[in-house]
Amino acid sequence: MTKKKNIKKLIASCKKQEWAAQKELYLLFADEMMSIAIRYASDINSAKDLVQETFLIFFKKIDQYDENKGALGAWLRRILINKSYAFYHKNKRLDYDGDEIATAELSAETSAIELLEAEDIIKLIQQLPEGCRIIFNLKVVEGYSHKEIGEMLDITASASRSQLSRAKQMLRNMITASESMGQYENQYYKQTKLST
Amino acid sequence: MKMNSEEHIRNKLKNHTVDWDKEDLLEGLKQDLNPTKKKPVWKWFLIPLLFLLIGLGWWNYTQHQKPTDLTTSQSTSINNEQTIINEQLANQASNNIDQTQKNTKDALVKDNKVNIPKPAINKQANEIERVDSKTKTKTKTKTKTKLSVPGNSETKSEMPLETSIESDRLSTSGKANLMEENKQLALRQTPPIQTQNQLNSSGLKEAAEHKTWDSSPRSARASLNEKLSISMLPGLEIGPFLVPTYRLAKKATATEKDEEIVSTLAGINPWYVTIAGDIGVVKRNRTFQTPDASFLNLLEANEATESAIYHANTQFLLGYQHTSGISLQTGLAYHEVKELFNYSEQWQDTVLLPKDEVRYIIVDKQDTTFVMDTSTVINTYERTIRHNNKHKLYTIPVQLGYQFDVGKAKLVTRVGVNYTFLHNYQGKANYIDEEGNNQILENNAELSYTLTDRIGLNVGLEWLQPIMHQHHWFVSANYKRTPNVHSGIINQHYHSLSLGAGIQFTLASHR
Repeated sequence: MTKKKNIKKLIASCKKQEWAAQKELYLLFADEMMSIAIRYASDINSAKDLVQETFLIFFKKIDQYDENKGALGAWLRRILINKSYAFYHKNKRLDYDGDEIATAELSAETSAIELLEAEDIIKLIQQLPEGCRIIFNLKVVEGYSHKEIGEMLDITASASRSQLSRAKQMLRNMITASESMGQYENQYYKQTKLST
Repeated sequence: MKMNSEEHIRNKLKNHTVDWDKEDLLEGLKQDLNPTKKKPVWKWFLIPLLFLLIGLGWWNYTQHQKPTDLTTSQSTSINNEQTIINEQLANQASNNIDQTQKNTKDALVKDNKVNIPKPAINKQANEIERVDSKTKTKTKTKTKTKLSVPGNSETKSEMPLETSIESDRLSTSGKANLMEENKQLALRQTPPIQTQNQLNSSGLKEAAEHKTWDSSPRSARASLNEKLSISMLPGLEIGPFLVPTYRLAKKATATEKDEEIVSTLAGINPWYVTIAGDIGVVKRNRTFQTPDASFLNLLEANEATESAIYHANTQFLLGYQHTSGISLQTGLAYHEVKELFNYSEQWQDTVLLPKDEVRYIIVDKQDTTFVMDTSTVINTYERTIRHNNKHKLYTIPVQLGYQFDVGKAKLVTRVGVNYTFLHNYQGKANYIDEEGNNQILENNAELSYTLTDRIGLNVGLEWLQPIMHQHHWFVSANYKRTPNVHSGIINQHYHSLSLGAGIQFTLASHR
């Protein structure tokens, strides 16, 4: 309750363009935004840029913020996501409407993923092509439907599915390749044992 | 299983926090949120606009002044010529009035409508003169009386005349007295200086009394006088006032010839204000000052990504036109050069796709692992960035011109310099970094004063056509060379050929 009141005060001050309030609000939400940005960006520097852009837009358009329509964190998150795919939307790089690639579930890979820590998953996600990365994040992490993703990115739902399948397949391949290189072999061996 | 893996990823990532220094971004954020306030450049344009408004206001004021408000410091030569024109008209009017009044008197006497002998009329007239001079300062009730005068063939049947007389004298003097009084009242008016000797007739003097001559009907004025007032309008230019008489003459449907005379006689104010704009094709000229050949190659390799689109210019100028035909003008100008940044790049990434085949089997002491075979797939991507880059220049032009008269039109050649006092550049640039990769730089330079070479050139031709009395509209063809829009190792100028149009307001009539 106190935090809510505090945020209200901060927002009111931010609307007056008071730097102290802007700074405080930024410090309050920066970590949360960075944890999202790191998944959408290809590296930490791009993620920082994304966070900065997000807060910049937020402070510039704070007059439009209506607390009755949603929490501040959700609003910031939405700005960040919009910002991350704006470039790709503009350049139509996601306008791919190929056949959906069948997703074969491999228990071995699932097991491997389960063994991975968040940092490792993020590293893998960051290696995805940006289009695939955005869709993977939107679908798997944020939980949007393909229809919603299609509307956001101005692509068809089918294209979204295709990109997601591709992303998954790439992740799978990366895991497999890593395994073959022995990066995860120790953990992997423990889980995937086949008796002869 | 699918849901499990996705849920696993979601849970792991949702609770994940990044270890980073968030203070890093604060400085950049602060700068972006509270940039040093841009100087409102548009305010510079208020100055010439103010000049323009003052000029127009002045001109408008002089055009609408009443003749009595003006001083007599008019050009003597103009007045002399005016006097000659007016003298002729005045004589004509005088004759008409004398004849008319003579006829009226005769008619009155002849018809015995008012039977008063001529000496008595004269006596009455003298009395009126005396009484009037005595009572000039008194406030008395005045009565408007219409007189119906029996007409003959020349005066027509009725000539309604109106005058203001004192009511105590109306009963004794009669209609003829009123006619005489009209005459006397008119005589008391002071005619304009130049024509005092020539204006002997009472009719004309009465005409002079009614200074606000115009063609609108005045119900209370005699139709005869109305007629005279119209025919005598150029006569009103007898006065020392050029502009108002010109205007009045126009109002009263004076002939075009009369207008021309007056227009020709009017001097033109040498000061004028110009509002103009032009747009045209532009070519970029870029040279490098560095001797480092490898660096030059990197820059020159990217020449193709930027191509100039247009150069537009608007300007507000205050000018002085000398009678010799030479003119000088200066003011404020805004230039905009737009370029298209068009960049395309292709890149590839390689992914390993699994084959449903076992590639090899790792057999440890106890465990055996099947590793799936993979195939390599190369994905090719392409991206295109199209962006409009803009150079904005705020300059003070100083231009010298020479004017050739071509009938009513004028051809003006101009040459001048543009001193740039503010410059702004927004856009993208492409360069190749040390590793050989293309980098796109986003530039958004604040308005700055940093240009090393600030002088641009301007050469042009203007074709002016008159509008209204002394103003002109014009079309122009111009060549412009911008100053160097970069500082440092790059010299970058733009050369433009443009077509434009504008309006030139002469500030006010020169007398």
